[in-house]
Amino acid sequence: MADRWHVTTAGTGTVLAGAVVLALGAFAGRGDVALLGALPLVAGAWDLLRRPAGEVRPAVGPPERSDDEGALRAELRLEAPAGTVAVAVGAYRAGLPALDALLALPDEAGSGSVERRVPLVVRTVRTGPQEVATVEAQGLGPGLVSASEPAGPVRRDTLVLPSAAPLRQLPLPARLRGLTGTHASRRPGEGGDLRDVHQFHAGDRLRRIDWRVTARRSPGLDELYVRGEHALAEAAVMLVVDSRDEVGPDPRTWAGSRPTRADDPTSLDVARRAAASVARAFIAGGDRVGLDDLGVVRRPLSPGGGRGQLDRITHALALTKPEGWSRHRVRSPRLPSGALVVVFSTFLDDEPAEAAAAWRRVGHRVVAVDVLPRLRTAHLSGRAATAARLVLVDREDRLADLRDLDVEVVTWRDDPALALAVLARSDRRRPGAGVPR
Amino acid sequence: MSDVLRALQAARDEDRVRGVELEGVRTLPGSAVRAAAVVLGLLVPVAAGFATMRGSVAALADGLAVLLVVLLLVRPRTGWGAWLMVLAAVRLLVGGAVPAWQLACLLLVVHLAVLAALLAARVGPGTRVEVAVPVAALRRAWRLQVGAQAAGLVVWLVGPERPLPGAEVWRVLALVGVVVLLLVVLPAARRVDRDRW
Repeated sequence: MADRWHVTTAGTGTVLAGAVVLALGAFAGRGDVALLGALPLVAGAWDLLRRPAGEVRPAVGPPERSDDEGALRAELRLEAPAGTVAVAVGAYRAGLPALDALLALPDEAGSGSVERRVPLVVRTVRTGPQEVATVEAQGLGPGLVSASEPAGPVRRDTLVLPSAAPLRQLPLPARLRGLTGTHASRRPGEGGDLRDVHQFHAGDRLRRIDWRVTARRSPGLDELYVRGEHALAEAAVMLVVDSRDEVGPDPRTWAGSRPTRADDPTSLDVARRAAASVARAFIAGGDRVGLDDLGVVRRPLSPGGGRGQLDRITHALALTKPEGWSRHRVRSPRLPSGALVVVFSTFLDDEPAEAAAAWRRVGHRVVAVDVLPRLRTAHLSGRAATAARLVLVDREDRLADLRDLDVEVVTWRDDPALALAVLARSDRRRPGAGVPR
Repeated sequence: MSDVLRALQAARDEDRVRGVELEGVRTLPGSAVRAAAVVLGLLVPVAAGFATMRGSVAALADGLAVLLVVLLLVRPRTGWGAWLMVLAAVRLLVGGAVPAWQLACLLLVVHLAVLAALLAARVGPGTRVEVAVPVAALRRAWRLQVGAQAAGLVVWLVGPERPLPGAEVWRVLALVGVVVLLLVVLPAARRVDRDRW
C-alpha cells in the first residue's frame, strides 16, 4: 500500500497553533478561547485523517496545430488518488517562462482515482522537432494540509511541420519537360495555344481538321487544313536547402555561446517555410519538385508531383537540421537537367554561393533565396556591431557576385510573393515561358 | 545607448515571451491570493479587539501581529500566519470576554484567515490559481463554520469566563486530546516540505 501524503509545513503550523490555543483555553477555563483553537484543530485533524495515498500522474497528450500562427494545442491529463482537491502544476518549455498553476480536481469520494483534463496552448515560431511542454505536478489533499511527492517531469515532443505561405506567380525553369502539365511549351502538341494552321498530312488527327479554314481556302475540298497547337509541359524544380547553419536575428547568438531566444525564428525556420511555400505552389501548378540538402551527403528527394510528394518534402524539411561539422563538397550536387534550382541559404559563407554559381554555369536557371532573418542590431555593443557589419558586408558582396553571374536573388524577409512574381513576369517579356536566355 | 540600457531593453523583450498557457480555465493571480491572506490576517487582531488594548502589552501584541502578517506575506509556506490566532487568544485571556457578535466575527475571521493562509502557502506570486480551488475550500468549510458559530453561541450563553462543572476533567481531556493530535500530526509532517520542483 502506498504511503499517505505528508503534512505540509503550513498545515503543521496551523494544527500546532490550534493545539496551543485549545490548551490555553482549557487551562484558563475559557470556553471562548478553547473554541477559537478547536476550530482549526478539528478542521486540520479531519483533513489529515482523510489525506490521500498514492501518486499523481501528469501526462501531456499529442498536440495539434490549430492555425498558422504557430499555436499548438495539447491536453494536460492529471490523474490523482481520490480525495485530492487540487494539483499544483508546473509546465515549461526550454527557454520560455514556466506556467505555474493550481488546478482544482473533481470532488469525488471513494478509493479510486480522479482525473482532470485541461487544454494547454503553446505558441511557437519554430518548426521541426521540438518540445511541446514538460510537466511536473504535486497533489494537495483536503484542506491543503497534505501534499504528495512531486511527480514528473513528463515531457512531450512533437514534429512541427513548416506551414506554407501563399505565393502568386513563380518563375519557370529554362526548359520545360514532357507533353503534359499546365505550362504552354514551344513544342507542337496538344492542349496549348494555337500554333499554326497547316495542310493535313500523315499523322494529323482527323478531329484536328479546321472545316471553316478548309472551306475558305479549298472550297472544292481538294485540300484539308488542320489546326496545330502547342504542347503543354511541366517544370522540374529542385529545392536546395542549406542546413549547415541555423542563425537567429541576434548576431550575438551566432557564435553558439548563448542560445537563440525561443520566440525568434531562425534562418532554418525561415528556409523550411520558404521551401514549403515554393514546393506547395509548384506542385499545385502541376509541376515536379525535388529536394536536396547542401548540409548532408545523402540521396536527394527526386522531383515528383502530387500531394504525396508535397507531404514527403514537407516532412523532410521539418527534419532538416544542422548535423555536426559539414563536409566540404568537391562538386555541387548533380541535379536533373533543365531544372529550376531554388537555393535557400543565409549565404554567410562561400559554399552555397559557389554551388549556385556552378549550377548557373551549366545552364540551370537559379534563384537564390536569402533566408537570413531580419537582424536586431540596435542592442549590439561597439565591437559586436562592427563584427556583424563586416560579416554582412561580406555577405552582400557574395550576393552581388551571384547577381553578376545571372543568379536571381530573392529576399524572403521582405515580400517574397512579390519578388517571385516579378521574376515570373520577367519570363513573359521573352518569347514564351521556358525559353533559355 | 549604454550597455545597461541595451540589457534592460533585451530583458523587456524577453518578458514579452509567452510560454505554456492554460486555455479555458478561470484563474486568479497568486499575488491576489496572498494579498487576500494578508488582509484576512490583519482582520484577526482587529476582530479580537486589539484596538481596545493599552500600554506596553498592546505595543508588543501589535508588533507581533505585524511581524506575523509580514511573514504571511513573504514566507507563507512557513505557516506562521496561523499563529495570529494565538495572539487573538492571548488578547481574549488578557482583555476578558468579548460580546457575542465579536466572538462570532472572530470565529469567522480566524477560519477564513486560516484557509487563506493554507492556500497562500501553496502558491507563488506568479501562480495562476483556478477560481474553483478557493470556491471548493469555502464550500467545504461552511458546515464547520456553522458548527463553530453554534458552539460560540452556547459558550456565550453559558458565560465565557464561567468555569464549567468538572473543569479539571475538561482540562485533562483537552490536554490528552492535544497530545494525541500532535502525535498524529507531527510524524506525518516533513522537516523539509518539498516544493513541486
